[in-house]
Amino acid sequence: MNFATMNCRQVERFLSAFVDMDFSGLTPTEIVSLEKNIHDCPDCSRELRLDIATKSYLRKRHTETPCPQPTIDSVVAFVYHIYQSMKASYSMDRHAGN
Amino acid sequence: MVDILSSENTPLQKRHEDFEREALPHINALYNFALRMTGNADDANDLVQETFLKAYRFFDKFEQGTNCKAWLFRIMKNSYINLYRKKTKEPDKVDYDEIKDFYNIIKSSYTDSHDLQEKLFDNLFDDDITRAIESLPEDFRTVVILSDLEEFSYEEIADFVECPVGTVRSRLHRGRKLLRARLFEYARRRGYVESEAAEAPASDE
Repeated sequence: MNFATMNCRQVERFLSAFVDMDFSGLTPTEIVSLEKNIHDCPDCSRELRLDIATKSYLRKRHTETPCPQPTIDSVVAFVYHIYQSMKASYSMDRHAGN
Repeated sequence: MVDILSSENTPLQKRHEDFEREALPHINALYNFALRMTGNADDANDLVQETFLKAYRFFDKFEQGTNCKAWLFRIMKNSYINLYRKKTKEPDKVDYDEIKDFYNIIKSSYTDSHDLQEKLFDNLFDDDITRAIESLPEDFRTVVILSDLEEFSYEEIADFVECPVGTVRSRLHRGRKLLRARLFEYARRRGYVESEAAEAPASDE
């Protein structure tokens, strides 16, 4: 793909990299070409601003639902039960070995 | 006096403590993800429990120093596929026309991203936002949640969804765009959209 001559549709596929500032898999030259494309195109610039605003909005408005306490208690109890079983089994093996 | 039993169990005890320290703090994030994937609290509870039990059993395979949250999410995804997705008769379909239509509407109606937050969506209820996220097709919903809410890197998301990073990037853009379309639709229904922009595309809900 020629990054210097991309159309809007092609640029769109890379916009998220600039929203999240995650340029995994892109070379510095490709990043610079994309930046120029976005800068020079009002539609791409606007699309980028909308994506940034959407992410920001989502983060601002997102409310985390706390995991119900009975579920937490159940997980902790199950995990502890497995731990005790493993401990007992480990001790028995050790003593049998002696 | 030396507690022989305790000293014998030190590796197990350390493993248990490591798990409590590394994994358990992510229980809220996992619950929220489970809630969004399954759509109901009972299934989310089951999924969280199943995930932590598996994680505990296989905690030896977790590489210390790597992202425990991402590791737990991968376990949850596999549990989700095994437990729930089999029940789904047909996978979610992505309505690309809806995305395209929205692009044209919002392009002509709103001049900058400031409008997005200040004039249109800020009056929406929390339930609208939750519904908008849940209404996204699964491929898009997953990447948007993992990136925007859980702050996973593209590499971590790519690993999770088993797709190339380029696909993650592309899905993120489409997912955010579709999310805006859904939010726009909720804003329109609540009367927050002015008359000239009120003929929004029909939602596929």
